[in-house]
Amino acid sequence: MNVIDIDKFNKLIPDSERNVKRLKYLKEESSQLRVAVFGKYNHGKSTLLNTVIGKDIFKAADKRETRKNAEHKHNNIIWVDTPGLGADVKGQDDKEAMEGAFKIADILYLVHNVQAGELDKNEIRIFRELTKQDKNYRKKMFLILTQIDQVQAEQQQLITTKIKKQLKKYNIDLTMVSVSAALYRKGVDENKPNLVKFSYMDSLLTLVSSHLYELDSLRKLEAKRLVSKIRVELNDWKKFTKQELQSAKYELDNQEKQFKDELVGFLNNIKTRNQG
Amino acid sequence: MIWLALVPVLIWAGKEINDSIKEDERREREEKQRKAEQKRKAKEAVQKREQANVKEKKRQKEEQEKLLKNYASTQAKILLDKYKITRLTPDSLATLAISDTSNAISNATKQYMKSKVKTTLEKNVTSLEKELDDIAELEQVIKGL
Repeated sequence: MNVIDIDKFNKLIPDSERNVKRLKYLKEESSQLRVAVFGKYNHGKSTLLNTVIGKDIFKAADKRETRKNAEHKHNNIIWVDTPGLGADVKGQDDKEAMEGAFKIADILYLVHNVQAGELDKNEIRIFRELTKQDKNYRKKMFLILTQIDQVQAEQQQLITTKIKKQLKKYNIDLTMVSVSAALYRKGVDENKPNLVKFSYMDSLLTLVSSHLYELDSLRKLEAKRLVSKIRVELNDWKKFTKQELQSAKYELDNQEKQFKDELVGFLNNIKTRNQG
Repeated sequence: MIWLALVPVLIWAGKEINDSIKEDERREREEKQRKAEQKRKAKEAVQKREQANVKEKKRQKEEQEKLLKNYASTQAKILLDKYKITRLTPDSLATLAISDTSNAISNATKQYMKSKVKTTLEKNVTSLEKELDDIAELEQVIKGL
């Protein structure tokens, strides 16, 4: 079996680092479905996961609690909580969250708290970057609007429309699901099916179920696409390196010839002066 | 009696004539000596001039050699600096360039082969060749997936 050495790939095609890591992950590391939540801190990522799992596994607080990816297995799915975006001034955690999320996630929930209004510049930038990584991202990434119970229906509608416009402007085509984890919990705790229904959490879980069913074929397709992308990158780099080698060899020969010419010129010059 | 009276005159006249001859001989001798002296001095002057000329020519030659050496050294430095050749000094290349061209070519070429410019270019070629090998290896990995 061919082992993917990430360092070797990074050395030659560093721009493909994410693709290589993901490919290695798909081929060598995990056969289990991983669902990761990803988004700004305090937008309800951990709460959403805890609600899906039905236990308070992930820390949910007003301050940023998650500094590294945290995982929990539930119903044959590994749920992953990533560090909240925008909480770290230097952006290092954002980078780690993105790297981690892209590498391991079969499904990525891009979480946005509807109370925050439309998407901010940073969210758009990161969403664009993530969607650029995989042209088949529609089957992998979903925009989850959380805490819909905290705003009026009209306001929610308005924000949803604004976000759709934002996504359209940047050519991002994401399925949006609006949910309320609080309503779902209350519905489950108090046995109120209507609350569960209007929390729309079921649609989220349906997404995961359908994905689980298609996991193998989706992963195979994704791996094929990644292989193809990496092959193109390698090929481009090979062409470039060949050209570089050709010019380096030419320079090596030419430099030697030039030196010899200049040496003979120098000696002739001295000889002429000496005779004169 | 008259003849007797002439004797002193004759003696005087004889003496005068004799003196005159001696004087002529002395003058002639002096003249010869003066001419000989003149000739010697002229010869000496010529010799001195010739010596001065030789000395001047030697000085000029040395001056020209010094100028040539300086010029050759400056030009050699430019060449050696350009190709980052450090194991050969401008002075030694200049000396060789003036005295032994073929040795200058062989020495300078030998040092160029060890120069930083040449080794850097060689390293670059080697590194790119290795990079192509690495790419081929990764292509095999990808092909096998």
